[in-house]
Amino acid sequence: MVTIDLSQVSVREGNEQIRAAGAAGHDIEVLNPDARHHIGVGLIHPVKVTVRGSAGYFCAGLSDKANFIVERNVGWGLGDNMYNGSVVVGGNAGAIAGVAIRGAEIVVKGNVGSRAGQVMKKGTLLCAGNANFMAGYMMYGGRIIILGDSGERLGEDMSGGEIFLGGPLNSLGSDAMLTDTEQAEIDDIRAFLDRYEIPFKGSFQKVVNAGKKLRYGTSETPVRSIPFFTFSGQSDYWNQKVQEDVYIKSQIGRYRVRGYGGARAVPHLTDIAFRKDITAASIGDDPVGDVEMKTLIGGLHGAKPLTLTMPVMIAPMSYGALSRSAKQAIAIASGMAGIAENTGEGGMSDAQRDAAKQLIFQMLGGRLGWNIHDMNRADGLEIYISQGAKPGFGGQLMAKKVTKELAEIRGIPAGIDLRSPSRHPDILGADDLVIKIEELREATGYRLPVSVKLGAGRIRDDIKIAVKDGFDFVELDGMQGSTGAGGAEVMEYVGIPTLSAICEAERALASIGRRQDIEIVLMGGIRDGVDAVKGLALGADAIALGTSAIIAGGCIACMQCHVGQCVTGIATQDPEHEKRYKAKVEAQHIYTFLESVRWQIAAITKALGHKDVKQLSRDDLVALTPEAAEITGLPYEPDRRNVDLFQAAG
Amino acid sequence: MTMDTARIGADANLMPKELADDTSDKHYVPAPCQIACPVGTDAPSYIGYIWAGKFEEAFEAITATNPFSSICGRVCDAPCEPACRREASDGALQIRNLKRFVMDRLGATWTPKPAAQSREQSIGIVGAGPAGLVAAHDLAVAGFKVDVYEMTDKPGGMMIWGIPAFRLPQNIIGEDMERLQKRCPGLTIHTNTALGRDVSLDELKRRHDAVVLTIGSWWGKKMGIPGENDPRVVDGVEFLRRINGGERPQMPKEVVVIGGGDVAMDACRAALRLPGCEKVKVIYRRGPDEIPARKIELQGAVEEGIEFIYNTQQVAVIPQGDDSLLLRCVKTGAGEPDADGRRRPIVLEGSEHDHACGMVIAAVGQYGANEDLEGRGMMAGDRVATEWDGMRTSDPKVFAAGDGAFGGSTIVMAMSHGQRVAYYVKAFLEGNDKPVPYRTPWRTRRVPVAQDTRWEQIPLHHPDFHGVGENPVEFPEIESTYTWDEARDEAARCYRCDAETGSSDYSVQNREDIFLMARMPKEDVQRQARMLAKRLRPRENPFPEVRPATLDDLVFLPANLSRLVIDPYREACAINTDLGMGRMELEQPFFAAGFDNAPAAVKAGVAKGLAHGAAGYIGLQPLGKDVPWLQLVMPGQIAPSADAAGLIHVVGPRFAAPADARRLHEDQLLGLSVAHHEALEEAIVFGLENKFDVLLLNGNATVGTDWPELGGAPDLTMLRDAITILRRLNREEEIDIIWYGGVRSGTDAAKAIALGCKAVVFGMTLALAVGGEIQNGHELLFAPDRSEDERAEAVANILKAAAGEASMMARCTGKTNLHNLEPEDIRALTRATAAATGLPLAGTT
Amino acid sequence: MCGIAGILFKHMDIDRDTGKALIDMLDGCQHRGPDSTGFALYGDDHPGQIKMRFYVGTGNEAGDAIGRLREVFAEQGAELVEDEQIGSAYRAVVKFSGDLQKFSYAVEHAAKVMSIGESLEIVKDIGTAHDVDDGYDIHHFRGTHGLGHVRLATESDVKPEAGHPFWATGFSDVAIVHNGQITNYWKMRRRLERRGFEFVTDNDSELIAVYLADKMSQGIPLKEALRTSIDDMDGTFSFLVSTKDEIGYAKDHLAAKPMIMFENDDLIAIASEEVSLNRLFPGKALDTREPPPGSYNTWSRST
Repeated sequence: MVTIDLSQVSVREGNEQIRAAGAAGHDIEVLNPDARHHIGVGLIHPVKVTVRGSAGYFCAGLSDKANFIVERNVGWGLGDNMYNGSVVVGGNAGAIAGVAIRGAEIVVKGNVGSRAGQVMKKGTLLCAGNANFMAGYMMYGGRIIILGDSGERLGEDMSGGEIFLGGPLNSLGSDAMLTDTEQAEIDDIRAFLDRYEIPFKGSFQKVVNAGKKLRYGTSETPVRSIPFFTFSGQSDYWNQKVQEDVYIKSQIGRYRVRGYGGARAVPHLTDIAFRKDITAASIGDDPVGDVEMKTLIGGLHGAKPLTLTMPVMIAPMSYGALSRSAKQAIAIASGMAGIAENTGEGGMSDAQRDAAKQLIFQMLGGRLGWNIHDMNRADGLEIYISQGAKPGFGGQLMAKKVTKELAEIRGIPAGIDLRSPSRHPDILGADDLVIKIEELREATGYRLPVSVKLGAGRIRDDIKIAVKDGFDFVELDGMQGSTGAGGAEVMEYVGIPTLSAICEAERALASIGRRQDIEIVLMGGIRDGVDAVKGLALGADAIALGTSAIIAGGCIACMQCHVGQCVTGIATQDPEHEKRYKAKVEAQHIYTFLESVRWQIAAITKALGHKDVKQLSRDDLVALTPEAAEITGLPYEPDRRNVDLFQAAG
Repeated sequence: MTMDTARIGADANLMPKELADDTSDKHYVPAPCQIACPVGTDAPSYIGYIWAGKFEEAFEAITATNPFSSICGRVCDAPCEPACRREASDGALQIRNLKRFVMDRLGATWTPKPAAQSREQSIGIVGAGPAGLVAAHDLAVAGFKVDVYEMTDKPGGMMIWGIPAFRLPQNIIGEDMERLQKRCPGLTIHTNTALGRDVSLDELKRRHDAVVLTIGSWWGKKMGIPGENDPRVVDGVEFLRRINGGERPQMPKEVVVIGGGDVAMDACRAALRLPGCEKVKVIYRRGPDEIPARKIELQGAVEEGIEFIYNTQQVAVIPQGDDSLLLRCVKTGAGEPDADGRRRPIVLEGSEHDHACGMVIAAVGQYGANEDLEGRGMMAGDRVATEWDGMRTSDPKVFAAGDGAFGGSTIVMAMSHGQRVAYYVKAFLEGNDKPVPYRTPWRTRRVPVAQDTRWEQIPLHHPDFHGVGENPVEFPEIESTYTWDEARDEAARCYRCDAETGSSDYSVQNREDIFLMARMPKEDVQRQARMLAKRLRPRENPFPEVRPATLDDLVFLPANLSRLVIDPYREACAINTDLGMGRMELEQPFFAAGFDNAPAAVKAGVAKGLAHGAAGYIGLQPLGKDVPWLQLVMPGQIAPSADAAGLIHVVGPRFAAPADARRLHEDQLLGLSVAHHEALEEAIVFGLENKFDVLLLNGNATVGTDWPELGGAPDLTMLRDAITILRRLNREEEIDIIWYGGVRSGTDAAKAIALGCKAVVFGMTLALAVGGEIQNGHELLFAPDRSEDERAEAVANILKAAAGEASMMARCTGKTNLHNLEPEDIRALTRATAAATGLPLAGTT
Repeated sequence: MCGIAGILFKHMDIDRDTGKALIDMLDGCQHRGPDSTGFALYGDDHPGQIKMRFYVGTGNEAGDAIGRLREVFAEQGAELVEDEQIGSAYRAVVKFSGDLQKFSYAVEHAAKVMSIGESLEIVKDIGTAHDVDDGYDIHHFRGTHGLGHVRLATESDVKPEAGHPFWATGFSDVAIVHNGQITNYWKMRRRLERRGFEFVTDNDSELIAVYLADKMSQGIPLKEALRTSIDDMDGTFSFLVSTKDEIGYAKDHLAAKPMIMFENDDLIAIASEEVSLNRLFPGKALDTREPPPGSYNTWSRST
């Protein structure tokens, strides 16, 4: 038995000692917890932890196999994302007890706060007292047992799993219904109660998903994108595209869903130009050898930074939206090029982990595929708040793509139109976010950079929060970013352009004098080294490529990713279609593309007279359009458009 | 030319202006199949037309650059197919078979428009093969007089003499020839007229202003091994010539064909069909991966039972006493790569063996020859000495092209030579001695992509294959033409690499550049530099000054960290709307307008849909009893009705107070409709003073017409100015604004509401939903083929979708009520729109 | 973006350790907002006198501001009873019986007002609860009730005057602490501006304070004002409001922002996190409650 006194050591030291004791197989006693947050997070050994008093937020969170006993109360997020193991709380638990658990047994002898068991996947959450509102909110699986009062809106928007209620039912949530219990289920509950010595002899009502909201009612007839359409100007306001939209919506009665990114032209990096001529002579024979491009990202707060051979990353894209083969190809290419890859929402696969030399692991509100073991083998952690293509929306994966295997990885029922939660259960403001970041750092021993993925909107405010909350870097995603599936209106009309995003972010950070306290990775419609250099010169520390990498690897931009039958085998989970994708061949293509991007970045940087990409600055740029000039504040020099660049190369 | 350099060359900015393509698309990049086609056939377009059932258009696209389309539909080696991007997926499009499908439908009957001879100069062309005839065609179409001199009795060259009828029936050749003659009245073909024998080059030079030599590679090469002079050893070209001339010789039981090219394939398959032949072997000196024959020909030969013996080289023919031959061979292995990158076969020691047979057909290459030219020193070996750049020979007046100038190739390659030489001859005759270098013109059309929902899944389907058929000696065709269903399915499979999919950032041009970047070695600095030069070019400004302010150029600012998003998939957002402080309550902030003069059936459907979708109607007349009606009251016209839920008095460009602006009962809404800036301020003041409930703002000022929105983008400054006036009076929200103009979706509705409206009017959008079709840009006709219920459902659906979209925008910005949207939630993307709405540009404050 | 806390001792006992209780509660949730800390404290009141607190900065700047304020007091007919400079704040007690709204706008133009009221005093500055206590001696403050706030300065710079609690500009004794965002801020603000109110910040907390104070000034009870606030304000929020005699809370329909409360016969305490409540009763397991979505309530010290 190892005793840790939190009046003597910080939580950070305490957690290190807990993990060390766990690894050595010793049971642990925590004294004077004083409702501190994050006690025991990240523990992955089958030991017993006894907390003598009350614990704060995320007690036992991100753990596996350990058995916790908390003598008194716990705060928010009890047992967050626990795999196996158990927690027994003697008193009450705060909101979202048992959030996102994937197998753990959680027993609260008192009451639980609101939204208990939110997005849980597997395991049992027992509340011996009363539950507050929305217990079982958006749960995907597992079992909640409530012996007291149900609270309001029980089972709100649950997709799967079961809730057994021993006390009175206050009200049922949206898409939840009562159903009959089976004796075997009741026997199992009784055995569970006996195991935890909870006397309860009453009967149970059972609540399950009613199945009315799991799939879109009317499926949209897939149509191939209309080529050559123009957005409405004077004469073509009611153009073919508008007519098609109206026609289809008049059939399905809801917004349209499609893949890819925004369709229309918005102010873009291409609307700015370099102040100097880029000539063959200024590039020389070996620009890559002449320009320092190595970029470290994520080390500002003491974590081990990502080491990039150039200021480029792969943008987050999920296994799910993309096929396993496509993810594999991207991972291989990123490893070959010496840059970082990102899991996106879909969880981490061994193949991807092995192939990508550096891998960022992304956490979304649904906590799909999220777990401590993959966190531990990641090179960076990322909290997804939103994405450029559809800020405000959770991930969307149509049923066709939610295969059995994918459902297993994500811990959700197969065959639903997966609409991931748009918010995190435990990030409801900058204040909660601070605590969440801390939890991730505590669980992984402060080794990993923690970043935030942010769709560009109210950047002036959002970026300040990102820096204040202590993120190592932000992945800033303009509205041109793509997605596997999203509402068409949202893709076009929510969010601001990438160009606007970086300029607004820079101005906001400058206004509070905190630019040096965070790094920015810019993404959303960055297509090549030319766009990349402009992004860097405007202030980004690195850029990320998503769609362009996919195109390099065979995507034909048909914009039908959401259908799930991708003709090239990229955006599909259909094995017959995936077979069409030659991962090794395409990995080589993506790699070759990345090398060409590298060449372009080096060539331009050198031609601008710099030896290091970090020397790129706004002074290297001019604006070609009035919009770009106003957004960026760069000199408006439309004549640069007509300069016959690069004559020497012919 | 490798494919990717071709793609670089396809950049419109690098193209010679003299060779303009038939497109006005600024960013046009031809599809890989079109680039791979030596004559630049616009395959994606004809495939698109086929799917649409537009065969005549498809025919035009096919024949635009190819006078031998019927022939090519059967026997082109189709370099387009390996270039097809779907090849890497589940198999290339069957581009050639699709062409055959069209030509079989229309090739025999189509009468082209004759291209009259319009110039005095004439050209003499020697040889009526594909190169010569295409050159003749292009020059004749350009207006020149053209005479073609052909030594045999039929025009067609290797097309007619080299390809057996089971692949290319005579009537198919006839179709093309006939069409060629009809198209080119100024073209004369002189058969049985050989250069040197019947006419001399001097004579031709005297008769014509220019001469083109397309003499072909008419003669089969020798193998150069002992015993090959035996009469039972024949050369492949000669063998095919006899067969194609109509002969059906009795064959020995076993035949060996030597070679792996197209001639070998045709020869072996022809031999197999002839009387007496039981067994045909093909001997090829390299492996199956290197055999040059087209995959489909090879496969056909294998399926017909021909045996292929690879890595084997002939060394001698040894006649046997008993009417048979022994072909002595050795086995080969792969040696060092030679100049063309293929591994040179090397003989394996001690591998000698014999093949017994009754005939050897040697198909090991062809050569061209002409004594007249030889005598003039114009030949270089077996070819006419020709410069590739200008297709000129040593004689300034004489040009050359085709196999006879550049060696044995394919029909379509020879045709492209014909086009090329025609280009230079024309330049020469026009006195242009420094023409822009030739490159294939890529004629394009704008053809909609096939809308087949199964396009990603439909498997490749080959036409039915018949092999030698029931009566082989008759040379029946080896395969069928696609049926219409088959052709349509195959056409649906096309990726349409030529077509923009609607992604501005990832246009075809940008995608192709990325595709190339993914295939260009990092060591190749030249290519990297060329690509960079291309990528450095900015796009054209998409927001020129003429672009009007539009709702499109407004975006919402989403909630992220500074606000919490309201889950758009789950959480509620109220959209119910009250007007006039509770005088009118709507489930959603929508009205309909424009159907006053619509057909009764349309009106009935819309009325039913509106009742269901809970929206009001604004018009001169009521739409139906279940639909709340805001009556538009025009001065001096129909009197206000007590049945109306509201009275909207229409104000003209000059404000005049409505004569009798009072409610007929206390629940009735009172409103003003304003369509002109000039009247705005007075109308607002009047409305406020007289306690009017609503202000209907018309962004499209054409009052009195049913569909004013057809006029184009609405004038958003009306709304901006109305709000400005109200704020100046410190009376915002004291009169509810309803916006009419250009609202196409719930998103547009949400924008109008954020800008200060309480409700919006759907006009054109509903019309389109119930089957309205825009005619001539300004009229609307309703498709008659819809039932009342279908129309009602369409109306209900589009309003439901709009309600969902509008609330989705509100939720994204963190609202639980649509009416809590604010101007501060939006940004403009263009300066024009920023000015018209008074909002900042995105990224500025 | 913060942690909030409120406490009310139910019995009319002016001599409770309100300052210390709030310090403890805020110290417990300081991780929610390390940038600045603030207190709204309700102590003793004298009829006819109003207490005012201003942010004046330090040095010459402070002297100038105080000079200006004294002039305004005189102009507006307010008789200075006592005043002192504490840190960057200036505290004045005046006798005043005129139009408070007009008076407060007038003084606002002279210096940043933090609070005006008969019993309310707002103290806020950069730093932690203990930092602010060190500067302003909060722990000695005795009274019946008060609010506290720790702030993570996210949208604006770290400035004392941008901290919470917010006083309802123009209204006596109304203070607010708020966690969340009002997403129809401009719409609501313009509505109130049309009614003649001035806003001194762009902060949505000030909006809530003015909104509630406006309702109360129309004779609407606080509880009813809280009820309508839930429908009128959009966004996600949990806020605490205090008046001279009452403390209340409201929570939006999503109830996303944390709030937890403990009540016994003696007191009602409400905070963002349970850890704050635990500080009041070290070593005890409390029977706490989380208010349901769309709920509101008030407690008065007189009952």
